[in-house]
Amino acid sequence: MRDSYIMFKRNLIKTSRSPEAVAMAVIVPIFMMVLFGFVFGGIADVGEISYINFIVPGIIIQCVANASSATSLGVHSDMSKGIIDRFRSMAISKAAFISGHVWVSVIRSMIITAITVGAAFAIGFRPVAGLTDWLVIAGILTLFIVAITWIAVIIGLIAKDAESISGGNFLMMILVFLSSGFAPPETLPTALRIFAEHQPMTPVIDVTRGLMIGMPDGRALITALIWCIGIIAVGFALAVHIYKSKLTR
Amino acid sequence: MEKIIEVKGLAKSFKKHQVLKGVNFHIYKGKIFALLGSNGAGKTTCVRILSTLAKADSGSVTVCGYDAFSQADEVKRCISLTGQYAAVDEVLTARENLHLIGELKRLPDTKKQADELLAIFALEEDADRQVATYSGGMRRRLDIAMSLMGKPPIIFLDEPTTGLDPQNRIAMWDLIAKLAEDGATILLTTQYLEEAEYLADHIAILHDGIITAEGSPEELKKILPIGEIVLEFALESEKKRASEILKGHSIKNARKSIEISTDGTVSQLAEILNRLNSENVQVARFTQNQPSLEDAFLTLIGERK
Repeated sequence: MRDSYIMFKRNLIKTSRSPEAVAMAVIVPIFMMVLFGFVFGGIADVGEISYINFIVPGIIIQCVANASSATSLGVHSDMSKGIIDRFRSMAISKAAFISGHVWVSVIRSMIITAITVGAAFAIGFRPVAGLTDWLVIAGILTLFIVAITWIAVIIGLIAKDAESISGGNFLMMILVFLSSGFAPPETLPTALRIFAEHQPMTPVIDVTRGLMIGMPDGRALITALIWCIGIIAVGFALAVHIYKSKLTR
Repeated sequence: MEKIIEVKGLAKSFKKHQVLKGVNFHIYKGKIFALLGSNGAGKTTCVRILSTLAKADSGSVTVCGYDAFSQADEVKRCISLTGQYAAVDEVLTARENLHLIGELKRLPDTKKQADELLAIFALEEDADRQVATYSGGMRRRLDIAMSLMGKPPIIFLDEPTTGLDPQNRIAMWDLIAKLAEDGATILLTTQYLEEAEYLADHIAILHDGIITAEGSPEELKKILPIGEIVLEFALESEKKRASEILKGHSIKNARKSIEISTDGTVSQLAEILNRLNSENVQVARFTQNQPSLEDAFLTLIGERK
């Protein structure tokens, strides 16, 4: 645990050393919010609720997915440099290296999420969620953030270079658009609709949106929980396995 | 003397390529041991196995009395590894790098040790600058400083001077010698013979997956089969005459001299000199070339051109 904390501190310092990355992480959600809210807000018709109220969960997921590539890059750059051999030749917990990255990533994504929600309020987002609803939203989004962080760690571990990481990030972005985040899946062509309805981001978005606009979706909550916990469990095991197999080359 | 590292029958393959084919050596406490070999000889693989980063296919490695395979954590606590590539965090400052290692090792006096090392390695002025702005020599110094946090009794240095300019290289040699004086046991790998010759108490030549020769620098020179003598002449005609007389020997012609390979025995030497003397050849100068480690090395690995 102490090792993880030391590694966490290291990554925290490193994050604070690249202000441009932090600034990007803050600007992107605001920019996305404005872009989608104003540009498509006028033409999009998503039923009874306003488009801005509709897209906030999707934007949050998008920003979190986008920010996760920083984690992949961090893991990859550590793995490809001599520093990893130094850590490995010391008697420190094997998991500490990975968990140090995970915790910084989770905290960073939570901050980004908070900023995104703040920006949404500024341009007309008007949720009706009560305190309990917000707590559930915070819980499910945190789970989602942890899940996506483990995926980011795996991408970082297996990536050959920075280009393959941006490739992975691009796939993640496609996943965001092929969800219920920006358009109701019913409006999509059949094949895409089936995909959108059964991928993990959709239930997370549906739960969040349902709670925000006062139409809770119990089924989506269970699906979202299963997805997130499943990804975390498999992602954790897989990441540790890949990391260890890279150790014993 | 206490054997602090013992390696027996070490073998390791990468896919079908067998890198180590049964390496044996041991290192005495407080000595500098050089593992000498050309590029790709398996030096780094050896060091990685000794420092528990890689697993051997067979053989045994004992470090500080612990088994490197089954007691990796105990081994890790008494060694430090400085690899070929500077293992420093570029985003952090030198001080932060040192503190990071100190904290991970749970040292009670991390700050004090870091300050001392910054002073020893002449990094005090730049201690609070990000390492990304450092020169190659500074990074290497910081790298070794990080390895010395916690004063490990065994220090592995994998090609410590590769990529350093001559000035930094000499400074590194002094530093390594000083570490040994202070009681550390050092295993260094190098492709440079002069480096091994200058620093090491004991040299092992790793070639083709096995230790082809080992001993002190002096011992290694002795096992060399060739002794070379050089005869210098004032007159070209005398040089020609000598070449005629000594036909049958292996002779190399230089501008004003000839170099003759001998088996190093007194009788052969006497025979050569006697013949020249009886023919009254005027030799301006006679010298015997001490075989250099370079010759020994090249002869041993059979790559002499």
